[in-house]
Amino acid sequence: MDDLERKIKEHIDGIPVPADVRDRAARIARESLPEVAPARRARIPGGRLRVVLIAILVLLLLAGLAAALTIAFGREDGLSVPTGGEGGRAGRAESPTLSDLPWLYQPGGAPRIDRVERRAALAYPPRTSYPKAVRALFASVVERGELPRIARVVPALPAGVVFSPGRGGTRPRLDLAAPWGYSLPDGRIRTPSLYFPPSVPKEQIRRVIATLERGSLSPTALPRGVRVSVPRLPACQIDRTGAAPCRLSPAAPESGAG
Amino acid sequence: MRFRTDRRLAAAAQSGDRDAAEELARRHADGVWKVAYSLTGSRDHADEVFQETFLRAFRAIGSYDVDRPFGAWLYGIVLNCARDARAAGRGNALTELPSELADGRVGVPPEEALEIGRALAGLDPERRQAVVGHLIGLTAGEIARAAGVPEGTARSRIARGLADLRARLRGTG
Repeated sequence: MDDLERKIKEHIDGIPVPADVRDRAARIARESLPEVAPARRARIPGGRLRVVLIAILVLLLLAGLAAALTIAFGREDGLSVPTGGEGGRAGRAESPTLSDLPWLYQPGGAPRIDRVERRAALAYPPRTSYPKAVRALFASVVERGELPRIARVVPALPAGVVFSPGRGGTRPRLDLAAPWGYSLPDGRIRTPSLYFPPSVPKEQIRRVIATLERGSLSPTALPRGVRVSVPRLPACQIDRTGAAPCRLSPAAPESGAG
Repeated sequence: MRFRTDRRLAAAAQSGDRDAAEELARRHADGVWKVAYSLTGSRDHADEVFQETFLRAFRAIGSYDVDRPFGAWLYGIVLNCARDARAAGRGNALTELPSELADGRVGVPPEEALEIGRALAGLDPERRQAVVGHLIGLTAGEIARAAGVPEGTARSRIARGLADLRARLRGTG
């Protein structure tokens, strides 16, 4: 192994690991172990698994030519949306509907969708798309600490549904418990993230991060090309005729992350 | 607690011993996550690959040959899961700097971490898989099995991947 290989090996060894990975690995191993393991090679179902999204302060993503740098924010002390400052105001205190929303405040890590209190939904004007709905929510909460003015609060969507496109006179509706969806199969609620195109200089990214930390970010003042990321929701999180509900893995006994 | 080797734990897990399975999983969790992260370049995708790896591994623990190193078998599954994630359009050529690296809390200069992360992310995905496999100690044969290619191809990917990395890091350094 030469110097370069050693350097990269050290880089890999130095990658910080989320605090709960051992517990998660242990839980998966326990739950997925067959009663008596088959002696011969078994075909392994290739289910599409989604991720456990952990609360993090800053992520930077660089994605090839057409890709983007991402900053996702979420803090383990529970503050995921900037508070105070000139451009941002605390959503927590401004509106009972916004208080302690599980995608905003994750003091014990990302909670499971089936373990949080059902929340109201937001009804948007007809033909509002899911990306437009979540971006409007992000902008209004971060900038003004309130719900989008184009939306109104309506009763909760069916359990596990994140977005209802709305048809036949029903307005599109967005779940307030998990507007960015949740991972499958473990149902961990996602926090929002921002994408930075490669053209944004690193220094400017750092300034935005600092602004986020100070809680004074105005989405309208973001560098050109920066946008709120919009996840591709699994079909089971969209309210459509015939869509099967999401199947979640059994919840482990309550822990700090739950 | 008496120390048990991976092999003993795996054999116990094959008999349905869930405590042994847990211990085995805990032992390899950090390493698997780091490799998953190195292959996908994103914490989200690393989580996904990590989860899928342990799920596949312990569902199929009966297929593990206890005469082979458990780590090599498990890391082969990581490579496979990362390849599947990439085929599904997730974790391809992304790199992300965790906050702990971004602010230097883990002792790696952030600029260097970013450059290495970018260099890895810029590799052809198949070469990245081969290089990461090589650096974590898998043999060319194990990498070849995970990738479903002849061993010679795996060797070639390792060599070309390392050469690419050298060029990229020289270019940015």
